[in-house]
Amino acid sequence: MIASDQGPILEIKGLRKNYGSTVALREVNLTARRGELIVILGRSGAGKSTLMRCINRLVTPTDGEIRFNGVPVSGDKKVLRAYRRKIGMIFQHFNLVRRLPVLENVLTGMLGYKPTLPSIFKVFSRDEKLRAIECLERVDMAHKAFQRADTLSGGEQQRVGIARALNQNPDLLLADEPVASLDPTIARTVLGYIKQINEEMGITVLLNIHQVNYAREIGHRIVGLADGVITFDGDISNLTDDVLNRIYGGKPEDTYDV
Amino acid sequence: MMSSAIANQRLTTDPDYRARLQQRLDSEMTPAERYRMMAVQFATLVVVAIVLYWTAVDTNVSLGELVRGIPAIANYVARMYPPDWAYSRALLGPTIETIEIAIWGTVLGIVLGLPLGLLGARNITPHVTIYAASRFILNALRGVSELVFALIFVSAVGLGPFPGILALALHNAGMLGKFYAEAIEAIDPGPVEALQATGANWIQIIVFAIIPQVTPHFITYNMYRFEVSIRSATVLGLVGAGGIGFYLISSIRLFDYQETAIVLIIIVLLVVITDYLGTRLRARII
Repeated sequence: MIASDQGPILEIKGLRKNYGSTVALREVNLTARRGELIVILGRSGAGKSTLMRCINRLVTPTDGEIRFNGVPVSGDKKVLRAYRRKIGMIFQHFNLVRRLPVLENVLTGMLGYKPTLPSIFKVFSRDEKLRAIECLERVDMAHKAFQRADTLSGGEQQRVGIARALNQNPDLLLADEPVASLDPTIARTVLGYIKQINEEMGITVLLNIHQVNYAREIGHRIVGLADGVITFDGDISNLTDDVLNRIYGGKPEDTYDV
Repeated sequence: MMSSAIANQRLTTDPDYRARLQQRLDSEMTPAERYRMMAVQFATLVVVAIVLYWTAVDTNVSLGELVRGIPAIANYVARMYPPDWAYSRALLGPTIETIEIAIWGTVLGIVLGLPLGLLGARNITPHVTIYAASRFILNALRGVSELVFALIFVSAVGLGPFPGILALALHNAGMLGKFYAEAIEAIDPGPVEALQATGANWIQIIVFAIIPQVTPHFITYNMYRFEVSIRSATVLGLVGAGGIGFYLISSIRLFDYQETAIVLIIIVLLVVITDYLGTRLRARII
């Protein structure tokens, strides 16, 4: 990891993914610099989620190369574990373990670093718990640490999701439609935390979103994805109506207004 | 160690902030509460240990006796060899009867258990009294073993497979009804609410919002009970309720070890085949 701390954090070349005869990603090339916040824009089914899941290999790509910190990603178990723990992910439906307390949910972010035996007995040191509390503090959720996750509102659950990802000490954060299930006010709060993590902690963020107005509020660099192909990659200022038509396929008033 | 390495990473060094985090961590319970919790846990452990010890002494659980009995068991098994293969021809009829008992015992169990399960599910029962009554009936059916039911029905309708079917049906109804009710209680309430909002009535809600959600669970339970029924049907013959069990008990009583062996082999085969077919079928349906 030391030698590779220069250069792009993520390089994707010729990435393809087929589900049977359905093509989800055709030919995706994308490079992310360290500390960037990239908004990936596209309507539902464009391949945004598949792209993210190819990056952390929740989905196995059909073809193409992905390099993270200069190292090619493989399916080898040991390599994969070391690699996944440096990539945090937050989900549209939060994916917390609803019956566990908030603190334990955040502690699960550490599992990629922990040997199996102590973790299956749920043994965590005081420092580890303190770290989990600190991650919760960053999203202003420390006061709910001992409540069960299913007692929280949607916005609160997503903040715990962010804390869980932070506890991985990630270099890269994948946020897959993190605010699609939240109302606009709460969505802006959650996006604010993500932006803060990017700016203050220097964590590179890939953010999937389908609403253009959120993208305009948060983003610098926008990547537009349509039908598994990148149709736009550039600064937010170049995001014209013409470009949006290319991303959303001609019916902007239906698809990208909130 | 790696785990402590990550714990220290980015962990704040500002003492005030750190103190606040620690305070937060300790706010889960006060020391007094923690000691009380530990005391309760210890007491529970002691009680469980005492109960286990006392029951073991009372029921003569003894490893020594089991070890001393091993030669006798080995002797019993040795006498079973070779199994009386020729006897298997005579067992064909009773084997088929065993399967037939299991089929009808399960089907009737489903027919009886389904209404009881629907009425005994807290979230859709028409009335709490009906709920309580169904739960009571289910408990009673489940509480009585199929062998006891079989004894009662043998004296009522005479020897043969029919009392065995009735016995299995009642016990299965008790089991399945409880499973059904619990599956219904665990459904996602969203669709029920949506259909209520359209003005749908009780039966319509069951058909459109509940049955589709619970069908896979019901299929699994029914097949599981069929497997169990095959097993149960092999012993119903012990009390004269038909099937292969009658041949098992008579060969054991006549000390015909080689015949016992072949009956046991057939029973095990029956259970293995049912389990295999059940797994295949379930994978295909669900």
